[in-house]
Amino acid sequence: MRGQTNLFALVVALVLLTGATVVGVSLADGALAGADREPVERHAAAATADRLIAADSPLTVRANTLNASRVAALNASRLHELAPVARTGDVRVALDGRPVVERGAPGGGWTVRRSVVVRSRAEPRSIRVNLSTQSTVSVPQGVDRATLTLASGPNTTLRSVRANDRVVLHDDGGLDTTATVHLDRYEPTTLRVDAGANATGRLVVTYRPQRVDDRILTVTVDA
Amino acid sequence: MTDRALVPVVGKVLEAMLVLLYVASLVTALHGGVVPDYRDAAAAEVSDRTLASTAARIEASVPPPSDDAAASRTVDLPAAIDDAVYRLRVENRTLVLDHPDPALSGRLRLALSPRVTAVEGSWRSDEPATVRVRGDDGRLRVILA
Amino acid sequence: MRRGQLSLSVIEAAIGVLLVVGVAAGFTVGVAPAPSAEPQLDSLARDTATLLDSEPVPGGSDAWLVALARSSESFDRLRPDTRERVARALPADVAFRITTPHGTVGYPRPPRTTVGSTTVPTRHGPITVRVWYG
Repeated sequence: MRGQTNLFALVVALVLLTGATVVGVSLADGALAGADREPVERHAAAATADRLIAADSPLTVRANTLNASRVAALNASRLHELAPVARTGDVRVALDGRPVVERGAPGGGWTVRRSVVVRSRAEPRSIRVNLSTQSTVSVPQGVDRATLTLASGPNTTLRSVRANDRVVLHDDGGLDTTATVHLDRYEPTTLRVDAGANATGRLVVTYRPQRVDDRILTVTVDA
Repeated sequence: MTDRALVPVVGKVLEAMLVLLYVASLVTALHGGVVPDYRDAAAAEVSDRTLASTAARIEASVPPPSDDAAASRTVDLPAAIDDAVYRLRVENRTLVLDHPDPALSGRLRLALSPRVTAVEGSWRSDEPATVRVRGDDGRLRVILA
Repeated sequence: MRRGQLSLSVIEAAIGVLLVVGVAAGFTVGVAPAPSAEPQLDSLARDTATLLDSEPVPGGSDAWLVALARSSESFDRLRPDTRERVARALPADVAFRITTPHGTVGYPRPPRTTVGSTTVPTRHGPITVRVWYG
């Protein structure tokens, strides 16, 4: 009878051992399944982000500085041209959480975050100047064009307008028009109307100031 | 009296045999079913990881536009995957891992700057590997040597 | 005597179970090491350096990064603006510390966390940017 009890204990022990082995195998299974395709996703996301914000990317003005209008024009096929890495799988590129371009619907996958600034043009701003009191208008840096409207008063002939000493508008018969001039984006510009001391009239300068926003670019790839 | 002395011995021998049988059958079952799958899965993981990290290393060796330093970097490759030597080569701007077992081979498209005009060369996993970037700013060549 | 032999088998079984579960736990730990956060942090550190390098100091025209390294006076003057600028540029869960030849700006670095870093050589000395999650 002692032998039988021994055998019974042994069988119980073996059953427990089998149970533990099954648990171990399922744990290992789970661990291996969780590591599926991850390196490829990680590489695709990181490489796509690198290509998008590089200095030689068509979306950027220089490294990490994106041009808002070019970003807005991005679609899935352009993205594939720029960063052909994520050919299989779903991709999403977003700025501060708002999606810019998506191909498919990436659920989990791997997400890469980069710090960028986005340069855009803000709402137009107009400056009105009475030429009898003032003849210069300052335009800040970052503006590459401005629209000028000149209306000369009686007995006044406005002949030319300079931007930082460079003549941008000239008419010997008198300027009384609306025209768009090109400015140097890299410096602040001072627009000056060449007018005599008793000049009268009005100058309106309209431009769109440059706006620079800090954003976080995220690229998510789900393969 | 001999009966009483024999029964414990026989009982113990029986136990021992049972345990041995159990262990043998367990080991056979594991090796037959579960372990080869795990070995394959682990090797596939190493293959994926090697492909991705090598691609990242190649891409990182291209200098930014303002620098025209020619770069030469060594790359660490695992000498073998699943006990077999493999090759890494570039085909049409895609990094290809050639392994005797087709399940462990793979391709990964390289994300390179448009300044890179040519990528060429190949590596064997059991030889030292370097990536060289040559050329001037407009036209760069990446060479695996 | 019967009880003694029973408990011995149970002990053996317990040891066997512990052994198997220990090996299984080794599987879960060994097979899938967590992907290192470092390349991501290194990229963010490089982004910070790039952004500072490409912007002028507020209200001036010197390159920000060069001005931080140039002299003690320019570093001290730029310190609060730099702290604010970098905090704005990085995600909310990332902390930073910038080391220049004239001092440091940022948060104290916790001793045992993974850190991403980049070093920019400037004419006046190197500037190191370190970032970490926290």
